[in-house]
Amino acid sequence: MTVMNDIFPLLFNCFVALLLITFVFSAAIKSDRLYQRLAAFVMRKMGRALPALPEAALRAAFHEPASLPGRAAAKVVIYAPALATASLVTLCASLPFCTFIPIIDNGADIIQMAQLLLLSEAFAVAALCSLGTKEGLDFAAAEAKAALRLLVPLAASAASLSFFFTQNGVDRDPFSLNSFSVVGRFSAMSPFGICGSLLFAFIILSQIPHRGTAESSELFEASEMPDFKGAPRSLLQLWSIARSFIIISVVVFVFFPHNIIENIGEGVGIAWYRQALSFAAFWLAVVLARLFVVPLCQFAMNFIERRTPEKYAEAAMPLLLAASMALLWYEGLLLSQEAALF
Amino acid sequence: MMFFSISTGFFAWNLLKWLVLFLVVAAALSFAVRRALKHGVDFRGGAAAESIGAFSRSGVRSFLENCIEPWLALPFSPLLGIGALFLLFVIAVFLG
Repeated sequence: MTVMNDIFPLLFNCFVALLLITFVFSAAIKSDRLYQRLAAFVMRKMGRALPALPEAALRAAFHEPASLPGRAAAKVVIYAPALATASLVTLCASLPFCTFIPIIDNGADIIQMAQLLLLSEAFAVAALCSLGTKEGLDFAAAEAKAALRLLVPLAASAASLSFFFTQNGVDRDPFSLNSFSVVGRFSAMSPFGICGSLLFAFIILSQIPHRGTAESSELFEASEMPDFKGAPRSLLQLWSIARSFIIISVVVFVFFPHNIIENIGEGVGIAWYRQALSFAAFWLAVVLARLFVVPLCQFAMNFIERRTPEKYAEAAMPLLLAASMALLWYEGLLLSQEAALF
Repeated sequence: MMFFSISTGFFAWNLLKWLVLFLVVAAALSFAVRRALKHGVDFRGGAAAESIGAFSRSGVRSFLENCIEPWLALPFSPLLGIGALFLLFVIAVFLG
């Protein structure tokens, strides 16, 4: 009997969580399409060349007759994208805002997130490598590099923010996403800390993998890899879009003013109504960030990299990263010094 | 069961639950891909096509050429990035 009592809530929780994760994935695709249209519209108004045509709808591409390049390692190419997407779903399940009733009991820490991102990255790169063409290898190398440029700032921000929070006397898990909500702490921070955390957000958002500021976050453009078609390709595209969206949602979660929304919701008085309000406000903020903040950050980072001498353009991001880490660590050291004075 | 959970004073990672979730989703997606590919896969170019993939040729030399050398060649080597990542994980675990 006790087993039954355990299993049914678990199944129900899993169902709710998978429903939410499906919602997240479809929101990712929809906002990506919306961004493509927006970018095309802006480009047309400005009289610039239109960006490359977007890929056909993902669902149609999934059921397209499949083809692979001649000497691809077929099993790896076919099944690795599914594994990559599965590890993204696992990552989603450990985020507090993708599962209202947690099915994996933990605090959704950033380290675990980075590990699951690495896992899904490994599967995707394996799929690209086994395509057996020069183009596939180039894609794999570019992909691995882009992933590192994203993961290093993520891990750096986790390390510095957790250092800062432990100096600040956080008694909860310092890596937990829930203790990372920065906005409530801004009043207690000095300008150094505020600058450092904003700079981190800027760096992470500007390193979201993308083909160009006007393009979507898909892995391939429609004209690329004409030999590789069908379900594995569309799963890889889905994986790329969903990964970008999830990372954007994590950054937005850290900077989202939860307490303000809670206060608005309190006037209404009904618990589920408040939940629904904060849910809608949060995901709206994520979509808006995808549409406007991310392109802005990418544009600004491109500008910075163009202004630095060409030889050192690649070092611009690591230098900014070191600066933001130094700012946050300085803030943490200041705090511990104050504590020592007392 | 002890093997499947890592817990410190701060967090408890239940690896078994992760594994079950991952395997279930992976099985579902693989099944979907299998169904979508039930009419077979068309191999373009056939055996005559030039093959450069890292996993499509055997031999230690091709492994070195394809998998190891790209990591050492670049001026800003990805190895540097991986080293930084590892260092940051260590810092996060010991300072946090």
